[in-house]
Amino acid sequence: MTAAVHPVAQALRVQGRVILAVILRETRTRFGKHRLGYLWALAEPLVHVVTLLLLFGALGRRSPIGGDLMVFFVTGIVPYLLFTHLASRLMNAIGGNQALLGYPQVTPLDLMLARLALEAATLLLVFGLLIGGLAVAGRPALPDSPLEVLAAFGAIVLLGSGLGMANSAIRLYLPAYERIYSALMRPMYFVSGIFFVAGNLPQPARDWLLWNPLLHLIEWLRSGFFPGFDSQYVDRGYALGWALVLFFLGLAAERVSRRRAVQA
Amino acid sequence: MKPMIELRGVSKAFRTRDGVKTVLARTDCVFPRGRSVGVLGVNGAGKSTLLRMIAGTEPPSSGSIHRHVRMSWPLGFASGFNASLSGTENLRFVCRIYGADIGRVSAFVEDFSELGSYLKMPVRTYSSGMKARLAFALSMAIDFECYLIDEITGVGDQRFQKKCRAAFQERKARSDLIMVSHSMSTIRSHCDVAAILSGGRLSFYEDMDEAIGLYQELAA
Repeated sequence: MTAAVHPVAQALRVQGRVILAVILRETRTRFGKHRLGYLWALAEPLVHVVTLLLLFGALGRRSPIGGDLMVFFVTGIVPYLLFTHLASRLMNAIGGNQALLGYPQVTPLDLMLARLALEAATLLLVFGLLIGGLAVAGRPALPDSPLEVLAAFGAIVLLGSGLGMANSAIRLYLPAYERIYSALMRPMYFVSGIFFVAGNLPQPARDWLLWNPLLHLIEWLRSGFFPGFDSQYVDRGYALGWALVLFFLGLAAERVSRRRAVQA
Repeated sequence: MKPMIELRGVSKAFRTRDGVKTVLARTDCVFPRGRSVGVLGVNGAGKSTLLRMIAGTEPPSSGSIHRHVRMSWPLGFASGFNASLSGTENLRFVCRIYGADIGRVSAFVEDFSELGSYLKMPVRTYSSGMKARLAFALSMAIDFECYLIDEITGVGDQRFQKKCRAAFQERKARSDLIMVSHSMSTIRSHCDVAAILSGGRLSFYEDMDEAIGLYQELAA
């Protein structure tokens, strides 16, 4: 008997093992029918971003904050994708892995944490590949303050996964929610600062859009990224407050709905 | 030494279309070590639910369940396999969550399950008997102190059934089992204690013949 191990340490070890196993499994099942498997998880956002870059490049758009247009878009689209992917992947984490809940040590929270880790790592890698690719192509694409960029990235992970966990709980009680949610979120693509910065917006639109925490987070990330840009509208406390509150609300929602999740 | 499993004030009820169904009503009991228990009960009494509660995959409505041994997941036809992954890939997942050695388990499963090249194919191509064989071989490869078995032993041909029985006999010294089955002969050959689940109560019988007699009255 290995009685020397503290029960909490033992529980954490089991949970770590489970989360790692689910991550490895997700890399095989996410695009199960394709041979390339996980590569598609990388390719999908890459194709999305490259298409937009080519489109706007051809239209001759200019970066609203000076500097390179492609780098500007990448610093908007990737954070947006990170947020929406987390919110929807966590919403569907239980439905997609119901069979795994037949193993006593696998909990709904493990399924969501595994997707959180995989999705965050994937989008961080996509971000690195795009920025690295642009830098190799000779564009000014190195972050001014990598720490600031990572902090904004982390806050987006909290915001997106908090919303995802809350979504997952709501969905257990309201199956039609998934469709309502995707309709509600569609405008986010246009109001989160992918294609603009808050400083370019006319009033009163600016005041309205500044309620959107994702806009703040993208401004935050860009302020850290571009040496010549320091948004005067970004409110880091406001954005971080949203991220933390939503993340803990999501955790609480998961806890409250767990009984229903394992019985579904 | 603590008993294998303790149920303290456990109630379990859920709503169905025909009203509230009670599986257990404020039940206290223990499953002792060294005994293999066959759970009997008419269709719909909640035997599978009881097994899932013992495993910990389904919470009781109230009360608590304490487990003091390393227990298997509930082995049954509704196995926790991903249909689009191969048998081997599913095996790796189970090894990872139990911290078992993948190489050793693979070798055992290849030999015991007799699935051959099917192990490399998606589980969706398996018959239900093949799935049960995979689940059974996998659980035998990982050393559990208590096996939870839900109507699974009647799988495969005679030879495979014999093999399962031999595997259980061989590990009787270190593992016990809790089994749900409609087949009295299966219960008789694997278990030495019977428990009848009926009307929200779980009663244990040391005398297998007495229990089976009572069960047959209930089922009649």
